[in-house]
Amino acid sequence: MSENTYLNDIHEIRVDENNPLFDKTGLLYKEFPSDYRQIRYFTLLIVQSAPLEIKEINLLEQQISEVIKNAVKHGNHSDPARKVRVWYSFDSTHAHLIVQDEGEGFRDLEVWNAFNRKRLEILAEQDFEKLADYVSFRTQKSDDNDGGNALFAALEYWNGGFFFNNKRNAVAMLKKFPQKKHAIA
Amino acid sequence: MTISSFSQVVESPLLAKLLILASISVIFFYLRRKDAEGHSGSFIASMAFLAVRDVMVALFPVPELFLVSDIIYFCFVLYIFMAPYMVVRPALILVIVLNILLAGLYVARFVFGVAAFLPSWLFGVIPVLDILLVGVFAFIWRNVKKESIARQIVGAIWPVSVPVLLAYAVAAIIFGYGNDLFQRLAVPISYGWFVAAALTSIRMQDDQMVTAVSYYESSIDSLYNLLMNTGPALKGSFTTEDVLASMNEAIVSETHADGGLIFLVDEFEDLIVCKSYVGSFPPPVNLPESLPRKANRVESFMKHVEFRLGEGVFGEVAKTGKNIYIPNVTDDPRIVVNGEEEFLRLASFMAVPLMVEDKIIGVAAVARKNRDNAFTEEDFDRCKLLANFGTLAVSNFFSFLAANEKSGLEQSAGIAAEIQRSIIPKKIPQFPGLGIGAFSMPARGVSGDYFDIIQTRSDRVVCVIGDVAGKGVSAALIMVMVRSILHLITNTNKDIATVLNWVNKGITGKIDLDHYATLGIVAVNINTGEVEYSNASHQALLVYRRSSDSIETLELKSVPIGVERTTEYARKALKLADGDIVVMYTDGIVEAMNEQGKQFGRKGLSQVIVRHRDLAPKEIVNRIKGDLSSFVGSVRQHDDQTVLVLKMKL
Repeated sequence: MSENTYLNDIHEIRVDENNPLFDKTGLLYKEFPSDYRQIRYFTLLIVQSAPLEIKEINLLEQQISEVIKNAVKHGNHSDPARKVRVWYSFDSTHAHLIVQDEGEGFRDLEVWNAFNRKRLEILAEQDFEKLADYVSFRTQKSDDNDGGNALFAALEYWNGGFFFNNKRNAVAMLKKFPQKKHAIA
Repeated sequence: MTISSFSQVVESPLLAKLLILASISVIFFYLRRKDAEGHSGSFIASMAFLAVRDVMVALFPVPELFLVSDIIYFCFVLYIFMAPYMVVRPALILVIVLNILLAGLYVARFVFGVAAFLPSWLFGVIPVLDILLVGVFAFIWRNVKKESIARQIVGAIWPVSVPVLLAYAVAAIIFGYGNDLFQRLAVPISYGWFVAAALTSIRMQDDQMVTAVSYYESSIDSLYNLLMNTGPALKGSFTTEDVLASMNEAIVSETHADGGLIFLVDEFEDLIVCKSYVGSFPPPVNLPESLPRKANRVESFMKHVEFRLGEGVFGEVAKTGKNIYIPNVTDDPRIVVNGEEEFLRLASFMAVPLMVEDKIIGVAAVARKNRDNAFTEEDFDRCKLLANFGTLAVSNFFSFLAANEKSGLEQSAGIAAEIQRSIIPKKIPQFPGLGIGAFSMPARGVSGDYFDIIQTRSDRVVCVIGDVAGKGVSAALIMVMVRSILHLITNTNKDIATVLNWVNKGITGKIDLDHYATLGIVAVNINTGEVEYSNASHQALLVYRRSSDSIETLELKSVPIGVERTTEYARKALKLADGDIVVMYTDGIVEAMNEQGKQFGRKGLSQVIVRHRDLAPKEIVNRIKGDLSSFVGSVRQHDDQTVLVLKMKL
């Protein structure tokens, strides 16, 4: 593995409102109040439309729940009067979601990207002492329950793209499920 | 002897000669059908030449012509006996050319008187020398391995043919070609060696067929063993590894190999991964530097080894789909030598792709370690045969697994649907003061909607509608729990919100399963029209008021059942008048989407109700169903859809 693989492969959160993933045509829709206690329930309501054929449904559930959690907590500040809107579509090959909140948008996006880049650089240098400072992303608003890691995982998981809109209060994401094969294509 | 009349033809030896030649030719023509090497053709050509010669000589009875034709005939003989051996072909050509030159010289001497000083017996000796040459050659080469049928034939017939032809050539010198006895006896007898050749060819073809039959018999035995092995593996367990292991064992035992490997193409990546390791297989590929060169370490490394397409000798087979057969691996560039220890020393190797139609699904390989016991072509054929049939078995197994998985999913979805069907009321009860209509359409694999109608007192009817989050059997089980609790506690004097509180306490945190359900509940006094309504995050209640001919939407904000044990649900009281309609429904109704991506919505539902307000509840429900179905068109139903319509008749 070359020294720069981490950096070449770098995943960044991008803002791209014109990305096709923001196209809502044919997507199912649900909206929820920003009640932190019900995040798990909302996630289940969404995931229940995923076909039975999808393996690792729990991982999908967890990832969706993280995104909704971000919308409820960091976007809408758990204000039940504010809504979280979710557009979604699943089949055995993909999961496509758009999650929108009524917040002011993810202002720390650039800070997060810089943090992530720094973290990956340190990882590439294998400087484990420094790495300790880059284990999780925290801001002044973070509380003890914020792991600060959800977005790192999200960037890895949503392998078909993870984009914010210009206002940064909506995120569109796509997961492509690997298809089983028994022969060389 | 000039033939000038029919009787002369009959009396001459010509007919006998031609008859003999024709009869033997028939045999060779028959043999030619199965003759892959074309040796029958040389015999047929020789006999055709002799037939022409005999006719010519009968027409022009010149002894010189006979000798010239014999010299050429012996060229055919030389060709038949020596041509099967490539090595002697240049010498053969030289001898034939020499024969022809001498024949030419003899003709020139006869016609133009050239080289008249040469005695004529000298030319008569040529056939004798030819046949002596054949005899010496056949004698010297008698122990050389006879791979082709042609070699086997000439190897078998020379002890008969050479003496016969030698005797014939010598007789020609002694008696002269004009001699009647020679013409009538010696010539026809000399053709007898063709009979020997024909009979020998027949025997050879028979032997060949017997060998082929026994080869196919043993192939069928091998296949039988393969199927016998893989069959029980299928019966006993459902792992790919077991099926491959039995296939591998069959290949190893049928090819008498010391070890066998089977690789399968990875499910997601373009890699081949070792799935079965039988016996002992010295690796023909580079081992990692760090791997200790110990038998057990190398073996366990090989048991899980992976290759990219084109990488190493196994990856090569997976990439090209071509067989690799290396009877002796010494100095073969495709084979990597990792050391001289017994477990690293490979002697003989073959690898074949596992193919379904033209798709490569894996690679099978076998190895021998003893240098004196290399794989033969026959082993290689056997290996290919078993790999082909084994691949069929494996590919059938894959289809079976896929079908099994699918049927497993279908089955669990079926169980859930069955539970749901069995707990939803089959018959909708009707009451003097209250008409009820309902329908519930489950979506495949979801099974989360629930409704119920429970009469708790002569004047009190409780209607419930719910939607369990999640899907399948676990959702159906939650539904069963909710229903059981409801049926136990609904018959109470406490208000209807208390019922929801109790259900929530009964469900929340009790079992280690995420379980949430929305629940809407109304209790109707069928004599007075008084209604109590409580809601656990379910869709808003729609109430049609006849007095104002409009729909009221009743919302009670709350959380679903299952979020917190301490949740206190609110209640609302209302009073219905004659003709008023209450509608309970699940999200599957209002969120049903049409082809344009528009939801049916509460509005769509309200419109149907207002439009059909005068109909009986059962009819209203049917209209909702009809409108919804024409609204969504061909879009797939993704969630259960349930509607409950209550209409007061005071």
